[in-house]
Amino acid sequence: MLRVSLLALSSASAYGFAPGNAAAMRSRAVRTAVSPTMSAFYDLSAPKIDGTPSSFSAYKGKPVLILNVASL
Amino acid sequence: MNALAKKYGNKVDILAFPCNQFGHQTNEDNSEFLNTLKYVRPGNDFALAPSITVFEKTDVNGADAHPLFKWLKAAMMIPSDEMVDTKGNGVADPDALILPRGKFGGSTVVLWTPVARSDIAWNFEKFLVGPDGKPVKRYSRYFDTNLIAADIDKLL
Repeated sequence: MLRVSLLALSSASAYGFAPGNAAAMRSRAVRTAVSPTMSAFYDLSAPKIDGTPSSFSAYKGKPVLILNVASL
Repeated sequence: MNALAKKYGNKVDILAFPCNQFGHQTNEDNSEFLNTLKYVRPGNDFALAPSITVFEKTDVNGADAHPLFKWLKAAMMIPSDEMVDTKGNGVADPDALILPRGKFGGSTVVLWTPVARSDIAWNFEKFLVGPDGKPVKRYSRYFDTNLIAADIDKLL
């Protein structure tokens, strides 16, 4: 049992997954996921239901509540 | 949603995206959606408040999800509701994704692929974005829309 977990630990650290690296790994992962998108809201757009195009830059300066809806 | 819109008038914009990915519950065309609201559900000449914009039918999950929802989900992977099971589902409200559906023999039906951890669980999840364009908070389908006022007030 002890040998197995030691083995797991050492092979994990060989791949950079040792506990000491976990925080660094996590912050790196979060940065990649979120930073390209952080300022993106006002660059996005979607057609309104009548087909007219609409840019979300129109919502600058105001809180926006976004929701997915259904009619049934 | 309409009550919240009336409370804040033009101080808050509400963006509604009809989606047919949850139990095929928006199976009509774009051209029919507003009429469904007006004459069928809720009906009685129901009129949306002017600060509510309805967009074209949109995928919110899966590979073809609109970039808006990909962005929102990447920034806020699960709803911020308390981790309690208020509906007796057997899992906490923000954690509940696909639930058994009585009408389909208790089967679970997922209409998108790939299925991701951050997926929107069902209709009426809510996402609050600040006046600076930054994501603020995500709420599950179970979170009372009117209670979002507390978080909106902090942004005004």
